[in-house]
Amino acid sequence: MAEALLQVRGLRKRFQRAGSDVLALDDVDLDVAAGTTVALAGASGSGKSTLARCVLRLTEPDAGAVRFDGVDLLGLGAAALRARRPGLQMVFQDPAASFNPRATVGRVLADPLRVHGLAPRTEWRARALALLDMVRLPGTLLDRRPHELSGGQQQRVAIARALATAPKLVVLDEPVSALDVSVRNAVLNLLMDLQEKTGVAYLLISHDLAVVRAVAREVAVMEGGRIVERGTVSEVFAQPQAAATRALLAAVPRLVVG
Amino acid sequence: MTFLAVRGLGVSYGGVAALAGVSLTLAAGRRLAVLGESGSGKSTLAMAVCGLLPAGAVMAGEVSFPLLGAPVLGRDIGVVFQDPGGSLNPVLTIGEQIAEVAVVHRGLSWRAAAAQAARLLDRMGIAQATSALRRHPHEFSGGQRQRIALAAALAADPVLLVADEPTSALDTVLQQQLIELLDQLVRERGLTLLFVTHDIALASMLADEVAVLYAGGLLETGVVGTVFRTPAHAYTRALLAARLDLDTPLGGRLPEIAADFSVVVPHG
Repeated sequence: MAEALLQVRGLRKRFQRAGSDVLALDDVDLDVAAGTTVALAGASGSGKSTLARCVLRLTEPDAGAVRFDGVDLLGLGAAALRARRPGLQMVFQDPAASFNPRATVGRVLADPLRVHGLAPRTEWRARALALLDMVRLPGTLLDRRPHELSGGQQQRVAIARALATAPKLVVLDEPVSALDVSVRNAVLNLLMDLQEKTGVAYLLISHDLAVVRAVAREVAVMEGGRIVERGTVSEVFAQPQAAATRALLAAVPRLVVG
Repeated sequence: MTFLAVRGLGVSYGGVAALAGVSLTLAAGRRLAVLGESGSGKSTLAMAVCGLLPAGAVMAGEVSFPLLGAPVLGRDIGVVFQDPGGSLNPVLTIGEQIAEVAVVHRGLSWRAAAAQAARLLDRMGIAQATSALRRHPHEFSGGQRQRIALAAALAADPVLLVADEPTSALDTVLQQQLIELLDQLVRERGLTLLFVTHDIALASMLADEVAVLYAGGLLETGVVGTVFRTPAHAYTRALLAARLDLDTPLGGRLPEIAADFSVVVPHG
């Protein structure tokens, strides 16, 4: 079998907090195959965000390996890592906090092209317009500032920015939990459409198993820095083995009409 | 018996209406969910009920409490917000903050108020409550801070609890635990509850009645079972049809709510 797009092996990370040691990641293995969606589910403090940050090297792990697209990311120096960045992008929970507040939407979308030298200045506007179209936003938003947009529109801009570099993997960190329920499904549908169109893979981080179930085929459940259960969503949800999985399943709100 | 009566309530900020023409009543001991998304005016309604509208807000209509007359915030009405950091003072111990409510509003001695604070914290599921009193808010997790804020909100034994999206900053597991705790506390203390939420399932789990707000207007209000079984408004129907849970049919795309509140399932 070919090597997975993302291969995480034996990842460990220890934090010092209030004088005591916290093992945030304890020997974590994880694979994401090209073009697929793998969900990383867990409650707050389970280690799922630390894992995502280590994959992106926003946090340096203490031990282990992260291979992405055949290359050991942890062994790369700053310049070599920067050269790999276009292939590996991230969408955050709170889109508003991830934008330069003074930049226009056009500037937000052109920044990755400029930073990574992916297109000449003369093409930035056209590329930004094409990206807006890809996430189903009107081109008239190009000269607006992100704070003038609704939460759903902001998250679409964040998705467009992540896709600007034609990445092979996007880490989605709670991509819809800050959005109104009435726009969540449209953003999730958009993510699924974009995956079909571009072949991008997603590592979806979420505590909400209804979201996980809707978009992922595989799921890994974390608790206390370890992956306590993994498998296909249909198997794991039908017969959860770990207490953490059962707690997350039981916690999904259900409509009660007495 | 009518506990809360809202008549023709309108609120505007700088000439922009956040809420218009809202009328509803709530009987003593009942639980009302105010359901809406951002910009619906749901938090504005809750803050108007608490008398907590910011300076500069222009209010029309009337909010009255026939049984209480003029309720005092903190004594008769307890409030918890989405972000417990906003209601807890970072430089005071949590014991001081919980006890102060009972000292100010119920005339308890500090010693008696501290003992009551420890009992409340214990009831909220905070371990080693007596020593926890001496700690500061930052020493607790987000879920614990929300329970501490709830203890402070209930310290003067209010009759109305207003909970404004109290679980939105929490993960689903902590959310479920807090919803269960709220449910128990409302029952034990015979509270009247005003619960602000964007989540139709949470509204159905916790409330007896629901008021559906959209763009500053009240679309419909009634008993939860009636409104959710036979919704009168297309928006409520759309929220029900497009809700995402473990029973959502899979295999294709998810149902989306269009601008006219119709629900469409796009082709993948």
